[in-house]
Amino acid sequence: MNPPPSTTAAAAESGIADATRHQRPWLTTTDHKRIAILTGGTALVVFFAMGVLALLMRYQLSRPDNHFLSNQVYDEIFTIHGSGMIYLSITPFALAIGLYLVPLQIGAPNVAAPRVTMAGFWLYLFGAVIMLSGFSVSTGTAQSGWTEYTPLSDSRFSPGAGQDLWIAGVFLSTTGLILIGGTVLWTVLLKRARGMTMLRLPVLCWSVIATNLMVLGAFPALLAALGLVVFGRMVPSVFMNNIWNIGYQNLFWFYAHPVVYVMFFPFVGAVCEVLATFSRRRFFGYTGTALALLVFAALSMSVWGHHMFTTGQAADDYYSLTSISLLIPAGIEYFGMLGTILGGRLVYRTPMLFALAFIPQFLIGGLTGIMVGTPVLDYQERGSYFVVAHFHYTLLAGSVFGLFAGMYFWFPKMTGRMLSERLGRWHFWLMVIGTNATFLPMFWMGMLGMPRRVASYLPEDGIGMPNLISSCGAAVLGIAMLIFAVNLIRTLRGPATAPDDPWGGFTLEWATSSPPPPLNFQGTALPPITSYAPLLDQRERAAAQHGTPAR
Amino acid sequence: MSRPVGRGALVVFGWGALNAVLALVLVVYSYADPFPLIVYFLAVALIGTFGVAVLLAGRHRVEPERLRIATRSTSAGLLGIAGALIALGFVYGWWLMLFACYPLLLAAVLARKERIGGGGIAAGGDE
Repeated sequence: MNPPPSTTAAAAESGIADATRHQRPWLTTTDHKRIAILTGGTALVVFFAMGVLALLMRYQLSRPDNHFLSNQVYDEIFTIHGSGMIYLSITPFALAIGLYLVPLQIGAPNVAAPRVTMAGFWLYLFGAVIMLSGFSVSTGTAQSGWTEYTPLSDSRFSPGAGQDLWIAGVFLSTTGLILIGGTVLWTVLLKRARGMTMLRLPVLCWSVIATNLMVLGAFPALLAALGLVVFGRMVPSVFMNNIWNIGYQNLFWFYAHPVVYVMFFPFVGAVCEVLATFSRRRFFGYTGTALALLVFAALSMSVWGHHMFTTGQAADDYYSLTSISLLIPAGIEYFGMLGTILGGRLVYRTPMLFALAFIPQFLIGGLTGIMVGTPVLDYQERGSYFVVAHFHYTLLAGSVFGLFAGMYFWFPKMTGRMLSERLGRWHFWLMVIGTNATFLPMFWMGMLGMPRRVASYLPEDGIGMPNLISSCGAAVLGIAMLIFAVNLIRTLRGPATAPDDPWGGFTLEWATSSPPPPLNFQGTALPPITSYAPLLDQRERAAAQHGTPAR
Repeated sequence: MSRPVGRGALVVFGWGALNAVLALVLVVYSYADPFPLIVYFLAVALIGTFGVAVLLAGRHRVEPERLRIATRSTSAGLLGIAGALIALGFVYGWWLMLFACYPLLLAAVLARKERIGGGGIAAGGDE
């Protein structure tokens, strides 16, 4: 039975006290912030490890006819690099951003069903360990690429426990991510504070809604695809019938195209928040952007067949039409971002630098995506380094720059510590140089006909120079990441001196302490929620009263 | 006190409906190959089911909402262990899955004890 309204305040106090007293150690926590840090921290560790694998690959390809890695080891490394980045690093990090920030931005004390969320983290963690443990078995880990196409991944062509561990690990971690995505979506739809209507949600929350709708709609298809591979590994004759190979590709890409947007939208949301804050004005075109995110997400569920153009068994017209249609919502989002900075008073702090670089770099990834979403061009570029360049421009030059914009922006909120601005700038500029030096030549290699997933090439192939430039770029990226690691460790070992709102933020998370208390706003009254930028509203009201301009 | 709910559910339904339209357009292009259609419509059904759950949860909520927060999540860790055992059972033999029963049972027992019954914190709103 619910208490009468008169007892609510006292009950609330007692609840807060109970919850604070019962705050548990990290591994049995029910605090959404800690679960998010555990998830994001694990994803970051995996990111560094997968980056090392990328450096090994680039060293192998830095000169023709190199024998640093054997063909089998090279196959294992590119498989685990791609799988680790997508299943275990960028996707979990994207979901962790929503898990950390959404309850704070909507004024909720916690995520809905925190134990389900924590179960999601454990499944993800165990999945990651199981997948990566494939390196320890005698037959080696999986070698069929992150797509694990059949019949290559069945037991005839990929025997051994390494392949099975890959399947088990991906299945487990994806199940965990579905649980995390589901609880965050439930929270934003049903646990908003009084006054926080849907059209007062910050842009990041809308991006998280779109993200998690895709998680719920598309991720189960991967579980079904993996189930099919498991069956095929027990009964290999299944994949002698091509209908199941194409069936697998349909199931796989029904997951694997939307997952690109799952790895992208939360970072777009982060970039939007950063751009608005450091332009000192509210986000331009809010409603259009929120709507565009939802339309973008829906369209992204309908384009999977463009990955199957060359099978000859996909409806080219439909998938090409929907792929090109993505330009419309993407254009609206870009319009919102540009509109925000064009009228603003820009402050060039590290988060802003990453957010600004995100805009042109992701554009390269997006526009080349439209190219490979067009059948005639896709037939030409399919399976070449052009595709590798395209998706690294979306994921690294786009999403990861958004990730770092968000990381530098919200790090003081999460830890109470400010990352070094000086090291941050070094990190930024080396990332820009490294990213473009690594991936721009890959378009060139692709146009020259270099196929992806090859361990070596001959001097007479004429692709030595772009490969060398690309490898040098990768080394610069490695140095940039080292600087980031140093910055992270140095800052975490330093004192917690960051103010609650170091940037003059607009959204509710900046109204509580840094780091926030277990129930987010305990001891702090929520400011009135009058728009998607409630703290800016508050400052503007205060400025109007005092006759001074709002900051 | 009741209050208007379902705007969250509306977002889910709207998004599901947009996908349903896109799936229906695919019928025109892919009528001879039903497999992609089945996959797409199943996903739409999944989204619709989630939307119904959100709608029902919103309708059954009463004011003021009492927030019951679990104080620990040991059961979640045990569930993770069970999941890992089941996954490893696929790799190293189905017998391994039997061991998943123990953490699952323990998780079920602990799950009830982990929640605090009282403390009310007004939370949630959909206006």
